[in-house]
Amino acid sequence: MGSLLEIKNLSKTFDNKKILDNVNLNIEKGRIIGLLGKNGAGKSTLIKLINDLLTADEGGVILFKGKKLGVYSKEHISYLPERTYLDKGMKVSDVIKFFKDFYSNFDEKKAYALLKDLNLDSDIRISKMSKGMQEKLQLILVMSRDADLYILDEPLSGVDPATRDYILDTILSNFKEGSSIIISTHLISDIERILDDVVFIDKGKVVISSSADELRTKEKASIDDIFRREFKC
Amino acid sequence: MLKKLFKYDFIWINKIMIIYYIILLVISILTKTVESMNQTFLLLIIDKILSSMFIGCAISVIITTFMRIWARFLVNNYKDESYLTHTLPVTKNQIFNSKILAGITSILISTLVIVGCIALIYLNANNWEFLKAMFESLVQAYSKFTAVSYIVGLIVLVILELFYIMFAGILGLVIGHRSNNHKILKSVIFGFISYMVLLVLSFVIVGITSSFTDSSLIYNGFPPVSTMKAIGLTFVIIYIIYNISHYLLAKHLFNKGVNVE
Repeated sequence: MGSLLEIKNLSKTFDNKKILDNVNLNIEKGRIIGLLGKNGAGKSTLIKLINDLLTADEGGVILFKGKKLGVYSKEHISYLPERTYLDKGMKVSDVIKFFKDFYSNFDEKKAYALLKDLNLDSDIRISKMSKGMQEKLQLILVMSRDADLYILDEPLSGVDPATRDYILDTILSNFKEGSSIIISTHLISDIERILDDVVFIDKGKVVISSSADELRTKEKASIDDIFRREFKC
Repeated sequence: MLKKLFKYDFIWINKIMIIYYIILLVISILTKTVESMNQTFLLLIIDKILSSMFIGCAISVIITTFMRIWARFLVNNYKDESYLTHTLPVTKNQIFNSKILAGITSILISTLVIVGCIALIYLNANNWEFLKAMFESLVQAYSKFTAVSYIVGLIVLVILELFYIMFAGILGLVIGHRSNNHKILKSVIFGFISYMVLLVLSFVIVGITSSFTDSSLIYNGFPPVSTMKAIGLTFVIIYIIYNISHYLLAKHLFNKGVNVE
């Protein structure tokens, strides 16, 4: 398997406090990776750094397909943040046009088909939508891109079990074959079944990076149980 | 991509401004209509009210233009929307330049609307003659200049000053958001301080330039042509330098990367 994303010696300091400490990680093609850790472990910081939303401390390197982060990586990484990031003054149809304008790999037809499944009117303004609906719209936009890497930051947090199923189904039935997905979450039991690899982060450090099956066999426990054991308070 | 970014930035800034422009235009037409009627006591009062409303609205147009430019820069680059802005397949340079271009265009449009509305209300053959007469003494002193060139020169200086206010605010936002706390407060303080310090410096420079005036060349109380030219040019050059240096510094810091909340 070829390396899709390489992270070398990555650190991030805020106010003299190390949020990420010398992280080294390789993400391969065609894998679904669970980025697991407690709240405040550094998962979102790592994801923000991969998406160029934060500036790393000196010495850290992130390479996407061997290239430094930039226009190329942004064209091929589809990112779903924790927050709702859409311009509230826009209509759903405006947002779809916006994505079509900027992402050459955005599939407009797929986006409208997914909207139809949700019975969501494309003439509605974002400001008139509930937070949950905005999050679903963002998921549709992200999954309608033909990307090489999908990064989903806490896509399941704060939603009911039925919506979790909808989200996981949308992810699994819409991502491009051969591409990779990084899912950051602390709700492990919900996603355990779909994970190929797991990365455990604690206090800004990668403590476990392994194939999910190998880890389960080695520890004779589910990923959820291993997580609970590792991060017991 | 710059063109696409510009389109969205420009629409965002101006979708509110268009309402202000319409209000300003309506007030201008009403004022013009009232002024063209026979002035009774009641109409005189209405005229004064409309004139005051026009001044208030024109000031609001300028202030709102700046607020919209800065708000776009702040919200799109550092707040929730930044999660989309900085993951678009564009360079940081393009993101920055698009906002600057949208800002410059919006300031020019606002200035044009205000000047146009003033002209609509007050410009007629009599007032034009009055305006020219106002500059007559200057024209007599400096035969090389015309009244129109003074008016144009004044507008150019005002526009350069407006650009400078915009750049000071944007540099403040970029520097303020490099720290991890009190970002807005630091942005306002830095933007205001840099604006005031350089404004005082520009007057000092112009004062020094004009001090080289040869008093024997003073005509009717006016300094000689060479000094007036030097003062005018110094102001223009200073503002161009301020604008370019603010633009380059803000762009350089922005290109180094952002730390979104």
